[in-house]
Amino acid sequence: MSTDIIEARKIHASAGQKLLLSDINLSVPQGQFVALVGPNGAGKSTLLKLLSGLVYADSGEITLSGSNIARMKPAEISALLSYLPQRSEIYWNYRVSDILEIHSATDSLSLTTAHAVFSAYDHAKAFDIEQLIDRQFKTLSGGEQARVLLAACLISSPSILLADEPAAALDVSHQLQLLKTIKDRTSDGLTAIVVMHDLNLATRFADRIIVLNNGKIQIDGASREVSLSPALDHHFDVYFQRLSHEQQTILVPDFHSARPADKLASTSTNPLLKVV
Amino acid sequence: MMSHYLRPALFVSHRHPAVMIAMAVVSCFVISAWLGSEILSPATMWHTLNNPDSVMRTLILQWRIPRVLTTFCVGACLGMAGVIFQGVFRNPLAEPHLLGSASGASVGAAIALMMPALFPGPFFLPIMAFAGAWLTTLLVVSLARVARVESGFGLILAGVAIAALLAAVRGLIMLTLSDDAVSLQVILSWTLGGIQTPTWQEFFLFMLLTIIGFILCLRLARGLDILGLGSDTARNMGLDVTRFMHRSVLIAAAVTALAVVWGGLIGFIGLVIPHMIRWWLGPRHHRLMIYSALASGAALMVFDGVARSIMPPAEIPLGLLTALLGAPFFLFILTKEARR
Repeated sequence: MSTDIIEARKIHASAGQKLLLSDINLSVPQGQFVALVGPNGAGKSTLLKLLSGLVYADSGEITLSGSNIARMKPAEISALLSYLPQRSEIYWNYRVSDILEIHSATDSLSLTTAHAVFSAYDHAKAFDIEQLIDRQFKTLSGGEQARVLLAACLISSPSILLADEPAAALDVSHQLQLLKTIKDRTSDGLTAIVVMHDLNLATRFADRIIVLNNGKIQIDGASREVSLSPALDHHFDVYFQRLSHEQQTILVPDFHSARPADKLASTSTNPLLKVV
Repeated sequence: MMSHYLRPALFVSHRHPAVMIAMAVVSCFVISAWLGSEILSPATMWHTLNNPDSVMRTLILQWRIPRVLTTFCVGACLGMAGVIFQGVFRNPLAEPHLLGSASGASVGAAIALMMPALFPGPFFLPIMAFAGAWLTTLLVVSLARVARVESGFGLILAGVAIAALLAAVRGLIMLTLSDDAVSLQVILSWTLGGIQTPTWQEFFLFMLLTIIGFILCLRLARGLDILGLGSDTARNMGLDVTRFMHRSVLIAAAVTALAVVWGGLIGFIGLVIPHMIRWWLGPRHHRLMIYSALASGAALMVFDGVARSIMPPAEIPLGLLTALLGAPFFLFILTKEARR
């Protein structure tokens, strides 16, 4: 029996005539931190939405904990998985406590019970946002909003977190703080797939990096191996200088070199790295 | 932000809102019962009620009190419909009147009233009003969805356009079908907004329906809260968004129809009061629904009292009075939204 909590097989997705994703095959074991990277328009957000059941694929099959997502009820998916969207669409002037309470309540009656309120306050403490609890969400800074949204997503203790660029628009300190929180949770069994643009942060925090380009998985492997792969330069259309510091590979875009030639693509001599 | 500076001016305290709203409802009830073509002071009213032979006592008990209570229920229905429409479309300008739902209900009711042979008995009136409100709301939402302007001013523009069309249809129905049996004057005054004076029996039926409507509306509160977090988040939290929206529109149309059957076309209450409650107590829908229902009922009782007492023995149509207050408020929200 498979121990993979997320499995996608032969996924194809399109919008009208445009092919968004093609032949996606993916298996993610429990407790893994996966960084989904790729240039803009590569299909990262679409893949995340497919995995969260928000949109459906044209063909192929996605299973969560062994169940086909197409046959799961919204409540079943919700109990298993939390999705953090790219942009907050919060409409009303909710306070932080409102957002946490709404996420922690499981039915209409428990909304008014003390359980939801206490659960929200406990959770705020755990995520170090208790000082924000009475503030209106819209008055918070970008970093504070991101922390609140992540806390809200994790309040129901989901097995899977799918986050779409949660660290975008945050300063370095908040980026590190946010990703460390996710990393700590994966040690406790949370499976996280996080869309990221910063390859160094992806290398630093993720166990595995998947590079998506032109709607296909182009590179899939352990973070360190992917960061060393020359194919990475091709898919991001930029040369990276690779520096080594405390056993970490640091990628620095090289502005002076010419753009990588196509011939560099799909060449890997590392047996641990899957270059498609 | 507006909510910050309006709060202290409008409301003394955020504490004990239940006590404050209970006091407001009781005060508005007393004021409305006191007002009328003959304004009775509280002392006179007390003496009158204690005099079993007084004609005025019969008038108050059989006419004024049921009317005041009916007004409260009509206001509560409009407030609840406003909360649902604003919450489900995430549009602060949405309310039964501006969305065309109330006009749809009025056309349905007008058809039932003008064609008694086709729709005999009292039961067809609310059913036709409900069908009119529901179908109109679906039409407006579909038009806005096709034009991809569902959450903005486009929804309201579609509502206003359909409401204008339905007003013309209603006028044609009234002109072509009125006869000696159905007074045009009665229907015309009803379309301008005016509370029907029911018998106690009729009132109890209306109250029962309002309570059922209130329970159904309250059950939507959690869904509306979740929807306020965004459609994707709502779906991820297990809410079947499309189904929930259909159910919400159905329930909002039902309470709108109830309000229209008993109060005619009364605009802006469903817009103004939920906004004020949101500024006062925040946007959580459980609380918003309860307090908007109570405050809308209370406010409408006072408006009705004023409408009955300004030009005795004539009554000013209630819809005109609420529009006098509501239209400037609508413009205020409109400019605020345009700046966003």
